[in-house]
Amino acid sequence: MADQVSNYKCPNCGGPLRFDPATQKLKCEYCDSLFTQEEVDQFYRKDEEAAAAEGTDQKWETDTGEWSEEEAAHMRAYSCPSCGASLIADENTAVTVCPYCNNPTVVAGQFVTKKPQFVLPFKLDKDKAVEILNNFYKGKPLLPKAFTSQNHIQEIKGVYVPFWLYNGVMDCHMTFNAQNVRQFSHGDEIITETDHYQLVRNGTVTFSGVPADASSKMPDEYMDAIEPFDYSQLKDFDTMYLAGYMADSYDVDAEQDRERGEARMKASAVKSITATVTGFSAVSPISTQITKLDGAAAYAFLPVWLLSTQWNGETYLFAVNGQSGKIAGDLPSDKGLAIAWFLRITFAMFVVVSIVLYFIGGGFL
Amino acid sequence: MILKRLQSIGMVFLFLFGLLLFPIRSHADSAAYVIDETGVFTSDQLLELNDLAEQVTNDRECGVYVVITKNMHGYSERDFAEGLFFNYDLGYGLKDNPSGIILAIDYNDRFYDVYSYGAAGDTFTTARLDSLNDLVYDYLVKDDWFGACKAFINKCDELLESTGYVYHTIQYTDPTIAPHIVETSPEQRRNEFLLRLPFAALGSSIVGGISVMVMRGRNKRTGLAKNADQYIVNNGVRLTQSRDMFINRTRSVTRIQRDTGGGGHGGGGHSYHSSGGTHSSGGRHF
Repeated sequence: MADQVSNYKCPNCGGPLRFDPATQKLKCEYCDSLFTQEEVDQFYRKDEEAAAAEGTDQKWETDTGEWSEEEAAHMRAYSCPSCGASLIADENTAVTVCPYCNNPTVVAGQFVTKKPQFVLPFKLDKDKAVEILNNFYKGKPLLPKAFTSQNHIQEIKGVYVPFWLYNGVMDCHMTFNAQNVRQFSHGDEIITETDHYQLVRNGTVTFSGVPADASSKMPDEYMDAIEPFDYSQLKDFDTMYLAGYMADSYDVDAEQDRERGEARMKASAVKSITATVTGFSAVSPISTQITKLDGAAAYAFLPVWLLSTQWNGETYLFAVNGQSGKIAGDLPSDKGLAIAWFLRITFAMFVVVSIVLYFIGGGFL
Repeated sequence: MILKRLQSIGMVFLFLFGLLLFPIRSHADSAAYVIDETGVFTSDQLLELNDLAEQVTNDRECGVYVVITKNMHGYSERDFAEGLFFNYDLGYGLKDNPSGIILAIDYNDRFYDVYSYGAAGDTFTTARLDSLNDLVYDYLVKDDWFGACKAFINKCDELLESTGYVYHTIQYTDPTIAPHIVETSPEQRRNEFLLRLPFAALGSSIVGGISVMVMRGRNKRTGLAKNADQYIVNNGVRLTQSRDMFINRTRSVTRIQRDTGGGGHGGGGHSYHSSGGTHSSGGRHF
């Protein structure tokens, strides 16, 4: 009995329960709550039932729609034989080059994609995107000059990238060890008093619109880097927003992308709940339990200016947030320039340090 | 084109670094017993005096030194010889128990003095230091620098032999030897400077490396997001339970160490002047 009971945790704070002979009940070591065996069994039974009903791998509710016949009639689908990108555009927009891999042999594809629920219209035009990209190239001493000159920046393309926007509520149960230290002297002694505390913080954190791109061709680190998007500008989807732009179809469903969104939410939930612990000189978490209470994912097109370019046999991709202008991309570095800069800086530093050492040392000439 | 520039920068860097290191090697081979900052000796004279001083030092196990400077190096006349003895780190025997005698001459101020330290004080008492001062005076007034130094070294040899001097360690009456270093000589400063240069080169190359890494970092602007802080809705953090439970209080006591004024070395054994050195009655101008 004792062993069995010792594995129970307090329904209130998660602390260990022990049998209290005085009350003949189970008592929480931390919050002093008292429970009968029946109460604890009932709590755990309910918990298990709830977990069984939801499953540990809860599904996200998703909201996607189908294109109407009229909408589909004015859309064209394309496919890139090189990287496999599946693109759509309105009938008046010619898609000749793949925005992801710069392959110029894009072919007509099958129109099978789902219709997004929302769209965030482009705010920046092409000229502004070109200007942002040009500025990104400036002030980069290790960027090979040939890369800039051979870069066809004008070929930057406006692409609606498919995203899952996750809404969710994270239920956090956290316990902490905390200390407050006070030091004072008394006669010939320094006395250090440490007050030890056990803290319980339970709460919920609500998230809205945590984005995760739904295209396997789009590197996640690019889309994460151009966040955030201003969702207040989000519109119900209408094909009119696609005019002049192309759009990528999602090939990663909401369930596949769920882990990314959830991981970010959990990290922020822990951070937010931990931030409520104040007034202690030292705090360390002991236990953390997070469960997703509910969640939903909306399918949306978000605006991105993309430039894919080849240099020295490698593909370089640059993405500009079509709303805020935030840019992501990895520029190449020239090894020769890197060595030259290393020698220049090292030599200059050496001369300066030597002069300083000479004068600090009192000189000898 | 870039590679050629790199090569030329690298060559210049190596050449300059080599030049800076060169004096260390030449200094390592230079005289250690007779130090001439003024160039008053010819190279032959310097070698002869140095060999003579080295021989006496090794034979008698007592350092015999001559240092000729351009000025007083900021010392008073009283501290001049003593200061040079310690600044040049002179003395025979253990590092913390050296024994030796120095003839220190300020060329421009035409001032000189002798000073002994450690076990050398057994032989070179104040009276004998005065007699040495007398001896070299006759040479110095005639600007016979070589003669003065040679006579000094020979006389030291003679006195060490006649007094039956033997090197031994000394227990000083003061707990610590009084600090002597007041000012370093130009040669010492140069040596210290040269010793620090490799560290300067290392530090500079680290700065260079970090700078290039920062430059490379500026070429990269991608990264996975780790959290969703900006997507927490307004008032989205709701605490359903917040409880702080006091567990216990621990107390540790550290006794403050008071300085009781104890310590210091006991007496007994051979007793020396607290600083360990012996001065003459005073240096002289010539």
